[in-house]
Amino acid sequence: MIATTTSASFRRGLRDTLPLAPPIGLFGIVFGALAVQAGLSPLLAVLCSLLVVSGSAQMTMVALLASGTGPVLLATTGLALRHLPMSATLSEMLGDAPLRRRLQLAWVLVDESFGLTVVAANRGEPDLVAFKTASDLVLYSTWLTTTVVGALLGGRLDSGMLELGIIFPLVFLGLAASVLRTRSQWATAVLAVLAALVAIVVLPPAWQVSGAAIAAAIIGSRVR
Amino acid sequence: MSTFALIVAMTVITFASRLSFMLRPVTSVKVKNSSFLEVFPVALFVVLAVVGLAAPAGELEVTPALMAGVGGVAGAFLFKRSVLATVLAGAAAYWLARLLF
Repeated sequence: MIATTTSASFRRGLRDTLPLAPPIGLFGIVFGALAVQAGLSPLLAVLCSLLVVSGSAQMTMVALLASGTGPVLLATTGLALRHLPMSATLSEMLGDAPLRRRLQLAWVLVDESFGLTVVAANRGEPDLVAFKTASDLVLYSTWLTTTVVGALLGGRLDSGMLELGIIFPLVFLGLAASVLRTRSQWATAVLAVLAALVAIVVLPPAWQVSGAAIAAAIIGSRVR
Repeated sequence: MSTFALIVAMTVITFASRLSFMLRPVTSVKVKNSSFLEVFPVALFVVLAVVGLAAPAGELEVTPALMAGVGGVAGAFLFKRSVLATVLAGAAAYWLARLLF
């Protein structure tokens, strides 16, 4: 019975995540190509995807590499701040999962698999560990293999021709709509729109998402 | 610092933040924090959407991406908040705006 539940959750994790593989794959190809164009060897570009597993941090690294290591590490810290509440939320949902599983699930704690897992938890998914493992498997393998492709293409790829920018915001819009239930969540959504607009104007890009999301959640959580 | 060392440092920062609350099971989050955790996913998703749609190049500007946002919201609420419907309606609005303007 337990095995059946686990394999069903794993299958739903694969099913829900596979539609995200094409845009993630294009993003991976673009990262690999840009990293090589910025001076990284193909091996280092792939190593970066293997270890950091963060499209936003890796793209920021490529953009700021010429400015030195300080700005890259500062931006990485700003982007990573949002993982703190994501980690707390996921930990609460996972219950008493063993440490080995927690380490594995934390390694690929990315916006997309986090969002899908929150939606799955809201609909009562029985085995969230299996669900997120499947989701991570799709995202991580796609990210790695397409980084290899991009790194091998290197300077031959014109990333501007790939209209990638539009897909990810729409995915997150859909994820937000699917989890909106309570009055405080609705209030938080409105506050998050305002906070994001303010953050775009007043904060450096690397701090916008973490700063706006945490501020909106702090204020929104007080609404009853 | 070499590029390899930079990648290792980025790995440490990113993984430490991801692991922060996952080292031990959290089965009884304080009530004060649980209301924050209830709304944080919504805040994060909305901010990621708004930043990507309103400032695709890093600064606020009127582009077809804004129409994608309008189409996405319409799709989400017309089709029972389906993620796929949101993406398809938003992408359709985006391409329509690109054709028209």
